[in-house]
Amino acid sequence: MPGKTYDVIVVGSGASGGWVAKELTEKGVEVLMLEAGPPRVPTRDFTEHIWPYQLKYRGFGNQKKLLENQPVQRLCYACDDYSHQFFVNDNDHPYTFPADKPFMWIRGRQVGGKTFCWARVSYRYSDFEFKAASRDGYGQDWPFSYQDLEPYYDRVENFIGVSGSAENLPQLPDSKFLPAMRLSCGELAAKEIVEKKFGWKLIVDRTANLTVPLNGRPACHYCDECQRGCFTASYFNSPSVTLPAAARTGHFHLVSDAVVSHLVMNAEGKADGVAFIDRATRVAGEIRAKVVVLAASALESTRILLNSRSRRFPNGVGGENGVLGHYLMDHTTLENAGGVMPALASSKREPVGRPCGYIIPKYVNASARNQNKNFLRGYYFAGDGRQELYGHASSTPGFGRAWRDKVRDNIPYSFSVYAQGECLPRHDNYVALDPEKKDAWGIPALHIHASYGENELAMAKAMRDHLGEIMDELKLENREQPRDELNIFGKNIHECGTARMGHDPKTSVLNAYNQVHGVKNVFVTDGACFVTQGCSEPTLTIMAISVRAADYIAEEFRKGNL
Amino acid sequence: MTRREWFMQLGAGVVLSGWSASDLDAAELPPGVYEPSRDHLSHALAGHGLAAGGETELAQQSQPVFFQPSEYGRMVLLTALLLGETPDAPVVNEIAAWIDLTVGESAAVRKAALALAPAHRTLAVHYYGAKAVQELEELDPEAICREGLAWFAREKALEAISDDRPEPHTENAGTRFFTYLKGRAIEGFYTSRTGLEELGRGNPNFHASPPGCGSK
Repeated sequence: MPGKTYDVIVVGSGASGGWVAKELTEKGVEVLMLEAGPPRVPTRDFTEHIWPYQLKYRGFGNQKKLLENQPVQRLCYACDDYSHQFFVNDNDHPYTFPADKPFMWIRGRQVGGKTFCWARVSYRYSDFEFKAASRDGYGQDWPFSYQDLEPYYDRVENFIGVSGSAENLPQLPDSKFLPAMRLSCGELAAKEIVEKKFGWKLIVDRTANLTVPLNGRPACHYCDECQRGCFTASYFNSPSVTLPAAARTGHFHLVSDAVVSHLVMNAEGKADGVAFIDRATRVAGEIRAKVVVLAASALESTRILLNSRSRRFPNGVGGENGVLGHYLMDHTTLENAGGVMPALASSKREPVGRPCGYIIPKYVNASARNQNKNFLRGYYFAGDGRQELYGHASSTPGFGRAWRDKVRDNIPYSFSVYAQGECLPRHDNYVALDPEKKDAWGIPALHIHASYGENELAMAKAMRDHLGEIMDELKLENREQPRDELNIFGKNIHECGTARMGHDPKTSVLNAYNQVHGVKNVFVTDGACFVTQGCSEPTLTIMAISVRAADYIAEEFRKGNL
Repeated sequence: MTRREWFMQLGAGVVLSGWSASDLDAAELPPGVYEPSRDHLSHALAGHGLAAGGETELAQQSQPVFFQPSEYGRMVLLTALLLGETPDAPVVNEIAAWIDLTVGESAAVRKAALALAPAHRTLAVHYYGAKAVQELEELDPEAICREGLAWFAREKALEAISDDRPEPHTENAGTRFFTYLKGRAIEGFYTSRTGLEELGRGNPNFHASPPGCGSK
C-alpha cells in the first residue's frame, strides 16, 4: 500500500461507498476503500437468532456500560443489548452543540457503516423534492430532475431488491418492485377507513428486504430482527451486497480501521490522496490516489472537507463560498401517537415477523385537495398495527397463574402512527469544526448548530391535528397523544446536506455529479450532497446518486479528465 | 410443506452432514465482507450462541450479586408467588437471578446516570422526558427491595400489596416493592423460554411468505 497510487480512494464503506466501489471496479477502475471502523464477523457479531434468555441482560442491555460508553447512541432504538456493537463509542467520537440546540448524532463505524442497522425503508424522491424550489420559491432546485435519476434508481433497485406495491402516485414514484409484503389486520382495517375518510392511500412499506430470491441472496425468512445483522443477506447491507460484487472484480482493496482525517492537497489545488490514522495503533499515514470519493456519511464527509485546511483552502476544501457545512437537514417527526383497536382484541396469536409497517404517503401540499398555506412542503404518516407481545402485562392487575392466563389470553391490538415531515434547508443550520474538542485520534470534532424553524413548527401543528383526526376516525382507545415537541434534531438518522449540490459554484459545494466545484478530483457522494430532503428516507436516493456519480467518475477517468 | 418445515429438515440435514459455515467462509473476501450463508438455519435451530470475541454479553451462571442468602430465598419464594410456580421451578430461579442482577447493578447504573455529561443529560431529557431521567438518577431498588422484604417478612400477604389490592390508594414499602418486583418479573419471565412459549413465541420465527392478515 505505501508508495502506491490508486486510481480512486473511496472513504467509507456504507450505502454510498459500497455502490461507488462496485460501479467503479466493475468498470476496471482500481479502488482502495478506507473504512474508519473494524470489520464485523457474522458468527461473532450478528445476533438475529439469539434469544433474550441467552443474553446476560435479556435484551435490556448493560445500562451502566451504555450510559458510560454510548450515552448518545443508546438513545437510538436499535442500539440495544443485541446491536450496540454496530454503534460508535461516544467517548471516542465526541461532538458539541449549543445547550439549547440538542443534536443526536447516531453513528456506525465498521465495514458496512450504518447499513447493518438501517430501517431499509426505500422510497424514491420525485420532482416534488428535486424541483421544490421551482414549485414554491424556497431555496434551490437540485441540479437534476427525477427523469435524470430514474435510471439509477432502477439499477439500484434491480440489484438490491426493494419490495413494495405500485400505486401510481406522482409524489412517490413507483419502483422496480419485488412482491410487496402484506398489511396486518389492524392496518387493513385502518386502510379502509383512511382511504374512505381522507382519500389517502395506506400501503405497506417499501423496503430493501427480499420477498423472493435475488442475485444469489435467499428471500427473507421473516425473523424480524434485521438490525441485528442478517446471515442470509436478505436485506440490503453493503458488506453482503455491493462490497462482495466489488471484491469479485479483482480491482477492489479494502482497508479497515483507517480513520481519514483530511485530504492531502497539492500545489495545483488537486487532491493527491488522504491522510489517515490507524484506529488501533494511532499511527498516522498517507495514501495516494488520482481521485478521492468521500462517502463517509453526511457529517463525517463534511468534517473531512472542513479539516482539509491549507493556505490555498483556509476554510477547507470546497469551503471558499461559505456554503460548506451549512443547510443541514433532518426530518421532523411527531411520534408516539396510537392506541388500541378493541375490535381486534383476541386470544389467538397472529403470525409475526414482517420487517416493516405501513405508510400513508405525503398528500399535504402534494395534491390539489390537500393544500395548507401555513407552511411549505409536506409530511407522511407511518406506523404499524400489531398484537401486543407482553406490553400489557404490567397493566394487567394481579399475579400468579390467573394473571399469566390473562396476559396470554387477552391480547390487545395496538395501532401506532407518527408523522414525518420535511425540514427546510436553512443557512443557520450548520456544522463547523469545534475549536477545542478533538476525537480519540486528535481530529477536530464537529460543532453542530441546528434547530427547527417556523416552517417546521407550523407543519407540526398540522401534523398533530391530522394525527388526532386519524385516531378519531379509527376510534382508537387508550390513546397515546403525540409528543408535545418535535423530535430532537438528528434523531431520525436522516441527517443530510452541509455540502450541497448545485449548478452555481457561488451557492453550492458540489456540481451536478458530486464533484467539488473547482477541485475536479474530489467527490462527495453521501447525504452531504442533498439540496432538499422531502419527507422520505434518504438512503435509496443516496445510492442512486452514488451510482450516477460513479458513472461520471469512470467516464471522466477514462478520458483522463480527473 | 411450509417453509419452516422445510427449513427444519434442511437444518437437521445440515447438522447431520457436518456441513458448516466455514465451508463458505473459505471464499476470498476482505474481512468484514461476506456472502449469504445457507447454514444460518442450522445455526439458529441448534440454538448456538455467538462465537467468542463478540461484544454482546451472553448469559452466565452466577451466584446472587446483591441479596444475602436468606433474602435470596425469600426473593425466590416471592418470584414463585408472582409467577404462580413452585419455588423449585427452573424458571423461578432464572427470574430471581435476573431480579438479583438488576438490583445488584442498580447503584452503578444510578452512578453512571448521575455522571452523564451535561450535554448527554440534555439529550436524554429531550429524548425520554425529565421525569424518566430523574427516575433513572434517583430510583433506589436496593432500598425498595430491602424495605419491601422487611415488610413482607412481617405481613406475609402478597394480596395486600399487589396492584389488585382491595385498597388501591394505599401506598407503602410493600406496594412499592410489589410494583418494582412485578416489573422485573415481567421482563424476566416474558424473555424466558417458558414465558415466550406461553405467548406462542417459543420457536424460531420463520415464514415462507410475508406474514400478514390471514396468513398462517
